[in-house]
Amino acid sequence: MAEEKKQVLMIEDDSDQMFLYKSAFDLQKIPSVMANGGEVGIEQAKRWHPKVIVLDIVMEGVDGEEVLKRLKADPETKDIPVIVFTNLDKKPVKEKFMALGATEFWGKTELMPMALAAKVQDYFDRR
Amino acid sequence: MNLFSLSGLIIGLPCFVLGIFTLLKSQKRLHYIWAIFSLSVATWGFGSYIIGSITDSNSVAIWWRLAYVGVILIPATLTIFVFEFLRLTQKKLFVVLTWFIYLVTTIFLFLDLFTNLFIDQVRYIFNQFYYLSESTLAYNLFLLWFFGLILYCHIKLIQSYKTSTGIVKDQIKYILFATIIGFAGGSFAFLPVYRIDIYPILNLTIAISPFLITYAIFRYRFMDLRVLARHVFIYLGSAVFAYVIFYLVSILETKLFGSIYAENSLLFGTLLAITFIFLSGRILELLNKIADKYLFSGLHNYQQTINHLTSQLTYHTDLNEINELITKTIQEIMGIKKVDVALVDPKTKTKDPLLKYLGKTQHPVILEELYLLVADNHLIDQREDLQILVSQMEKMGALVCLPLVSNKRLIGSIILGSKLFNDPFTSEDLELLVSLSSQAGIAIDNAELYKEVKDFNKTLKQKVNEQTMSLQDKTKVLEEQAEHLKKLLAMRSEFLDIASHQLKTPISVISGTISMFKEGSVQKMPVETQNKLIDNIYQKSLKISQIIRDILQASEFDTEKFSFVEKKIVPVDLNKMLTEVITDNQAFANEKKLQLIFTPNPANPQVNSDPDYLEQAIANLVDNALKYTKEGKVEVLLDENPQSIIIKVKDTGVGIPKDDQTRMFGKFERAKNAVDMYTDGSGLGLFITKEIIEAHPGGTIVFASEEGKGTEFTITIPKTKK
Repeated sequence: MAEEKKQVLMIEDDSDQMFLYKSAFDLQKIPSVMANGGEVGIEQAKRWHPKVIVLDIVMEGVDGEEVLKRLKADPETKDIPVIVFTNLDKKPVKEKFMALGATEFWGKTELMPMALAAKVQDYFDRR
Repeated sequence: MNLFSLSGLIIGLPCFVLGIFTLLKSQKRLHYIWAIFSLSVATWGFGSYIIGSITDSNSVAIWWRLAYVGVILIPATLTIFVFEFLRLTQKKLFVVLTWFIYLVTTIFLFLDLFTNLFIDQVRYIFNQFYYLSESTLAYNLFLLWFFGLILYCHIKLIQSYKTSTGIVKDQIKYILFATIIGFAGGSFAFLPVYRIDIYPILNLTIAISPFLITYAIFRYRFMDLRVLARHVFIYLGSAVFAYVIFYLVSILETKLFGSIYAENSLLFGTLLAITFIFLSGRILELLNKIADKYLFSGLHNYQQTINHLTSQLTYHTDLNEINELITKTIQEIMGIKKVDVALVDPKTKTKDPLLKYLGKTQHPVILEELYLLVADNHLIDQREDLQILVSQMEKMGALVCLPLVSNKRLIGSIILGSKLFNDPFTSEDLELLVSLSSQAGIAIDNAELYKEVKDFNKTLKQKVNEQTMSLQDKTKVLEEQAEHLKKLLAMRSEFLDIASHQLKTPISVISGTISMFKEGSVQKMPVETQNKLIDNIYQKSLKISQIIRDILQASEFDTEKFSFVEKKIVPVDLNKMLTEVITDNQAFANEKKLQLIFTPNPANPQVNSDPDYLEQAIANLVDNALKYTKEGKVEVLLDENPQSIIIKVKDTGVGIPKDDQTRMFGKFERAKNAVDMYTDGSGLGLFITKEIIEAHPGGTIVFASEEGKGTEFTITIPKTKK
């Protein structure tokens, strides 16, 4: 198993958001990797073995659900915590993703960028 | 008996019978005159029979005088008959002439009976009888009178023959034929008076004329000698048969028993008589057949024809077939060129004068008879109407119109044109036609009734089909509407989900960025980064306007069919609504043999809602309950408390397994992803219901279920002020 680095992988296909959250992580001095889309996200997860993954749902091509399923199905990545971070923040969707093995489920409008960064920091701080 | 005497008997007997028969049979003046004529001929006949048989020269003169009463009356009655027959008596001239004839005849009768001026001497001729020997002045005058009148009659007849048509023409033809033969032959009887001794055997021909003319008068409408000849053949044939049998039996009995009066003979005769009775019928039949087959093949056996047609008619219920059958039968058996069947619409009163007349009389109308009626003085007031009928029939080329009657109601007419070779219609023809038309009338009426019933059935079937179709259509429309509503609701839901996501995305960026500024963390960033973030806010706010514009546009597209903005919230009478839901689902429940119960709440609870959506929501629950219940009942309950109304849908169905209960309302669970999850239509009913109920402020829907025992859904909607 590759070494677990204290970094966050954000799987997101919207560049403006990537920029916003990257800025927030940078400010918190959290090493972050931005993956543009689901396919790249899975690749990066295997490559970097991040401490935590922030996953969007609505994406072109491989969407969040597919990404989560594949991450949880792969022994290499199944233990990486996944924070589902989405604007599709409906209760049933949350339940579904939690059932699929997400660690947390947050709406993008309810969790501000610095709060997200703080949450990610929490994962770094936990043994 | 000599030949002269015999000829007298042959003239006398039949003419006497004929005269009496004519007198008894008819009350018409024409027939009276004819009867007197026949009796006059009979007088001469009997007279000449006695003259021929008497050997005493003294008494023979008296018989000559008596016989000549007949001879004197013959030209007078014939002339008056012709006047009457040709309908000349309306003119004064002929009335005068008639009286003149009476006068002259009376004078001659007087001279004959009471003086020697007419008949004087007799002489013995041919070694057989005494004949008139001298022509007196009066006798010569009489002879002139005799031939003058005869000639005059013939001229009148020939004149009329030329101008008349149809039956009258035929009648005149027969009369002329008869009188010419009669008088030509009879005239030979005058010759010996002038000492021209030719044996007056042609006297016989006199007998022919009364017969011919009688036939012409009585059968004047339907004169057909072939029919007469056929009858004569049959009756004569049977007479010959009876006579031959009688002789054979007599001979046989004499040979066997010695005498026909022997005891055994009588016994044998009785047996033979019985056999004969049985045989005679057969023989008559045989003769009929022979007559029809070999002698009068053109003639027909009426009874057979009627029977045949009747049996044929009963097999047909098609009006056209019946018409064709009637037309064809009449055409074939009577050789009529043109036969038509005209039917009357019983609902409309006919204005056709002919049909009106037929309906009134319900007897055949014969053109020839109409001619006579038109000419009849007694019917002068009807002449105009009759003339209309005549011209109508002439126009149609119709000789006979038969009424088609059923239940005393005229339903049509059979119109007959002329026969081949213009043969006249006989009484037998008419009898046949009348029987036939009455059968045809019944058959046609039946066929019309049958058609009516058939049409009615057809209409009924059509109506039922239409109703069924409209019912099916309505159901289909309702189903389609429900389906459409479901789709709209799904679309709405999908639309909201997507709209919400699309709106939240830029908002999240805006709020996220602003939150960073607020916290002061952004200020730590390079200026370019700050500028980029500000630009992002600006871009995302523009995005929001764009999205809002898109949403409005999208909702505009749907406003015609669906608009949640225009949802009309009204106070809903729940008793009424639930009763309707139950009624709509009753058929389905009956089909599954399930009880579907709803007892209206007497408190009559009301709730503010969009009735269409609320009904849809509850209907989905009832529909589901019925679907998942195999036996028992589905019950809808309506209750209320001060805050809310409560609707329960309870079934005794399969229930929902514990494991599945959590995802009962979760259409999202089945969704593959956020985009296409909304296209999954299965299990949408409960989702829609939930969405609708939850669309009411504070509205909830919950359920309790136990596998195998049933499920109970509870809807709670708070009472709100609208």
